[in-house]
Amino acid sequence: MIEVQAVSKSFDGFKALDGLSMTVPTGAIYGLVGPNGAGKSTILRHITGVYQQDSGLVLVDGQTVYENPAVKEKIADIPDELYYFGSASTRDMARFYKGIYPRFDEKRYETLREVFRTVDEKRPIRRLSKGMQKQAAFWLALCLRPEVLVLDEPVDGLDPVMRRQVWSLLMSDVAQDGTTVLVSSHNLRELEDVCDHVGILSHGKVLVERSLSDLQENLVKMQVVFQTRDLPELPEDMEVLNVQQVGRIHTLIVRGRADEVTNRLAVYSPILMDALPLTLEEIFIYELGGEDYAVRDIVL
Amino acid sequence: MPFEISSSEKKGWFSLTLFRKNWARFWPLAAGYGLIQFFVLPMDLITRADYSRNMSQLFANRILSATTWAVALGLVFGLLAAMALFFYLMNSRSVGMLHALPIRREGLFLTNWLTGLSFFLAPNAVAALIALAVEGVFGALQPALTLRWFALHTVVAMFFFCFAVCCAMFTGHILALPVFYGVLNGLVAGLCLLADNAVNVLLVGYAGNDLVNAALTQWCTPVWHLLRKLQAVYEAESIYDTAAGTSVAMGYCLVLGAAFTLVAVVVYQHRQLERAGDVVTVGWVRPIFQWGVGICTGLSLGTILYENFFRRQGAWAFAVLVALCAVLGAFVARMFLKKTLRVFAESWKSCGLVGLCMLLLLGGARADFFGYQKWTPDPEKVESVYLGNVQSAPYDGGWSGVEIADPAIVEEIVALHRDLVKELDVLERARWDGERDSTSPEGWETSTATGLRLEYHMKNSGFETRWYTSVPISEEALADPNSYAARLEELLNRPEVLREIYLAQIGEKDVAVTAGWLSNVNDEERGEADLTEEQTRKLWKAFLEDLEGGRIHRYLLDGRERRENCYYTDVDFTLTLTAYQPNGERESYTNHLSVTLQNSASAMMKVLQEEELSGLLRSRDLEKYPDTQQGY
Repeated sequence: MIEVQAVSKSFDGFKALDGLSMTVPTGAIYGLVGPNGAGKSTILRHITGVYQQDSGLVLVDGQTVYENPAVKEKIADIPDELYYFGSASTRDMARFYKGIYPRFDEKRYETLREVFRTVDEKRPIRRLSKGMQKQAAFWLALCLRPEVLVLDEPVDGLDPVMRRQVWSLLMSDVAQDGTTVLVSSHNLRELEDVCDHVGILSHGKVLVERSLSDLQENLVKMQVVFQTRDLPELPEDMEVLNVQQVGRIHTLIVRGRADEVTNRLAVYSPILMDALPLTLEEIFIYELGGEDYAVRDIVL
Repeated sequence: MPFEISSSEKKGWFSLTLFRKNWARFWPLAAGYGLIQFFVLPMDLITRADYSRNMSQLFANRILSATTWAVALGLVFGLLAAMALFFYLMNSRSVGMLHALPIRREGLFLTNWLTGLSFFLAPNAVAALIALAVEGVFGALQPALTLRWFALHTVVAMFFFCFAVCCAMFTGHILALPVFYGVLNGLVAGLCLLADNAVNVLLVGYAGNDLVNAALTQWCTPVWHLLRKLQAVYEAESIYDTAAGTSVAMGYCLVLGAAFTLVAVVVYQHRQLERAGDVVTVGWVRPIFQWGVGICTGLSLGTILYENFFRRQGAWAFAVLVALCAVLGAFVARMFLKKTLRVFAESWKSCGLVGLCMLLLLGGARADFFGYQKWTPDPEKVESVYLGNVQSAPYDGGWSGVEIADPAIVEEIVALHRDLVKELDVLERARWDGERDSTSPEGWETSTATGLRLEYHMKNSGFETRWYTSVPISEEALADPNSYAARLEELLNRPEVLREIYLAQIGEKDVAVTAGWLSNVNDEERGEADLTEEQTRKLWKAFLEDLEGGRIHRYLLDGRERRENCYYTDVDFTLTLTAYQPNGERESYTNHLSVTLQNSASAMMKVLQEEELSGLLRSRDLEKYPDTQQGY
């Protein structure tokens, strides 16, 4: 389990992380979502033990990560910007990792050669295309047999087939070995397919952190046609995050469970009322809407 | 995949895998170093081998000669090794990769440090072994010297490597590293040089290189210090001396290298890795960097501008220029720190403060806040005083400074010094006036300026120096017996002072006059006239008599009196001086003394007359020799 407790980090007076707390349960695939500059990469570098926090705690299995080789041995990461030694090939790096990580699985390296067969393992990684480099990174990271896998924008550059293959490999590791996967991405639709937990970051804080099902149950999109053309006055305690009107159809984004909201709107005797589930992308937009962030301009 | 994981690797304190990887990546560096070392020693021995000479001695000399390469090679390869091995700290991607590995920071440091050590140890060991083989083949084995060569080269290279690594810990930019390394190698000497120059401009009475020549300055400038030590090793006359010299150089490198390593480890432990790419990575060093760049730019650029364009505007102009340049330097430093050119709005106050402080500091110095210019010693507390750098005629061998311990004369010198500092404005003007010499219509000097250096050795072991570069001297001043000019000239002409001036080189040594001749004689074909042994001996004796009798004169002004009294002809003595070492060893060497003949030197004139040499004397008659007056 990864526990981040009230972690703060400043760069030259800019607060990149502002008391950030999050918990990634063991065996979960946790999606970290947030706009640019929210602090996603920063918190991942804390979790991999690269950065030292100004305050707070970063724990993996109850132990601090920073300067703790015993914990770091359990973690593999694929950063947003890959780095490998100058002219090192995938095979060279595998040899290197074998010397560094005691859990390096040589057999798995051989097995995965078939999956990543398009990667020339003797060619310097730097000379491979971006997509090939990403494949090599996954190949190497999966051979470490990590208990925790930290991925920063992991599938950027991969073609759809390879994406599917990579996610499939990850999910089988989660299922078989209980690997904990923490993944940050802007590709919300993709996360929706693979994640079981989601944390939404904004301005260095986690705004929302729940299982995906909880998150989806807590926000509902209602399409309603009322008796009158205009929107009636709704109860003050009903948290309406967004209202749109097309003709007589009102689309309301309301915080709450679908059945509760449906019951409360039923008192207005609407002509038509339908509760629709929100996509992760919509949840992301509306949750962050309150943060004065023009998400619509970016995502929609 | 043959790598085994060591137990230490598991704990993260050292990584054999990373060590091997470093070698696999950077072996050309070690190979290049080794190749040069091969040419420095073994190849040199092979090419210089000569059976017609004493091979042992020849090889010993060549090995000692090769030690001087240690500094140049260490300086360059120490930096290159540090840049290669610690480059990962300068790039956010590589920082992320290396620091995500299950290795402690200390482990990364130690592994890279040991790689650096092996980069120098291995090539030097190979070169030394080949050298030993060569020595063996030629039957001139020098194992002790070869081993010392190996140790010295390795230690010196490691010293520079540690220095560069220490610099690397303070910066996150790969191009800043060689700049920091280069600047810090010569920072103390450079700053002392600039400070010496600044004080020289600002204060009357300071005209030396006291700061830059201080032993501490040299000690804090590694290249300079080591070059001098190793040069001394090369020039040492006994094997014992070379061993001692090498040990001193190695001790310096070991102690400072260990200190640099310690500092580097501590800074690395606290390094903020997100600062990769920054010019300065350590928070508290950033203002020091800004101030340091400001001060260095102020002093260096300010000096260049002042010397080339504003010299006539005087010391205050210098202070203002330095302050303005310091502000400029601080802004530039700020731009590097913030990685943007737009720093004015956020940093004008801090940069202005740098300039203001420089202005206050230099202004304070200029206003003589500490009373440096007006200082004169209490004569009671002076043990002795050295009087030197006085430009007096005739321009013969009587140029030496003189050390005076006689309390009465010391008191007179102090009184003279006190009168001098009462006329600071005159001395100040004389510094900026440029050409000061003037001559009479007849061609002799009527005014000039002399230097005057006073070094006080105090009874409490203290030492104070004042050096006036331009003390105005004029006919009028010399005519007034109470003027400092007249008193200085009178002082120079005291027999006891004159004796020191002319015979300072002899000191306590035995002297034998072995040859003599007259130069610039009245014979245009010959120019010189050799003296017999007898004539030389007689003239030397007469010279000493005239010296004791106060009949040899020195003149602060190349005026009429000096022209009338002095001849153009000199008598040159070749002296053999013999000194005895404390261990009883005799040491002899030859020296020369040139004495301009003077009418007042009656004993010498008498000898020349008796020996019928008077006719060779060439007068300084202006009408007779109008073209030969300048320069003599």
